[in-house]
Amino acid sequence: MATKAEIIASFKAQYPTLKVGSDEEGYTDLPPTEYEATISAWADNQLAQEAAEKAVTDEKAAILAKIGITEAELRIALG
Amino acid sequence: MPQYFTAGQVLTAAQMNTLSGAVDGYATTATAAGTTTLTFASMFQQFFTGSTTQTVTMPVASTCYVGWKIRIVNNSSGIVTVQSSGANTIYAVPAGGDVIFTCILASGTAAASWDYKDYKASGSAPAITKIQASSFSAVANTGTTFDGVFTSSYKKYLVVFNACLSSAGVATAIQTRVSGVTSATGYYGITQMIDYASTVSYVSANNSASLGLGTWTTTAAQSLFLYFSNVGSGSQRPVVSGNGVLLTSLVSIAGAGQAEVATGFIVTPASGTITGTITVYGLAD
Repeated sequence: MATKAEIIASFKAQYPTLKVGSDEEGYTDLPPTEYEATISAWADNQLAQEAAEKAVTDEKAAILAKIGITEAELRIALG
Repeated sequence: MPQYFTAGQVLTAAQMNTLSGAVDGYATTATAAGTTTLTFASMFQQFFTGSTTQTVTMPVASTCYVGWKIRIVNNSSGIVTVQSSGANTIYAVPAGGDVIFTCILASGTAAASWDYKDYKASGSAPAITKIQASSFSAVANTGTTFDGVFTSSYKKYLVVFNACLSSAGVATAIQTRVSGVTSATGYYGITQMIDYASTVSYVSANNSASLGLGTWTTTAAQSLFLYFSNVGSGSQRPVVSGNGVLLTSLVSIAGAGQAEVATGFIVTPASGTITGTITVYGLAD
């Protein structure tokens, strides 16, 4: 799993600037502090998402290990 | 200041022009999310065109006389908010509104110096009124775009999301805004998604920072219909419910925020940018 700093670097490479606005009112770039805060929030969101997905995967694996079958076998058993 | 004439007085061209403007003259302003400041000498009829909002500041009441009138015709698709000289909102004129404002107190700077009558709203009020339609492309969030769409003019609103997408294919969320400040706590509710394989997933809000709008795909095919109530006036808990399509999934949303006077909303993706069109309609009681 990537670190927060690595995720931030990846987002910054992908989105060197960020804008807000609309077609009707025009667009403006986010000021530096807001840009940094937004990228940091994105990284936090991604880390939280990855952690939640890992928790589900780990829990599923623990249950399968406990009953001693594979996921494929469980699917067959459930029809 | 009011000008009074005496019998037999010969009026100047300037005086005649002022009188003519006061009776049937008009001025047109393209809305630009800016401010139009009126004076006693402004044209009687003020037309607003365009596709965004505008604020109108009335003259200082003491420069007018009781009975002085001005007509605001909102031919734009945004809200024209009419304020007293002290920046107190007298009336938010919805798109299509045709309102005459009358000075009822030739002193003070508050809204109490003014009366108004919306001639479009009376009698044949439409059941649904388009307040604002805004398209946005690759934005970090919708920022201030939907500030001021909820006012005391309506008690219920329909917010339609059309052709929306998320550049990263991630979850998006909505938060209310109060006078330009995002409310980032106190959301309770549930967002349920069912995909084409009948797989069900949920995002719950339990005193959370926002309310989920589901996972938007990278295809411009997200379409949501959300109903808002308890917004625009009085401190109440905003309530939102609705459903929609996330490309090939069904999404249902229900939730409430903290007690506040919500005047708008902001949509934010978990990461990346969003693109789409959001239209806000006011629903008559």
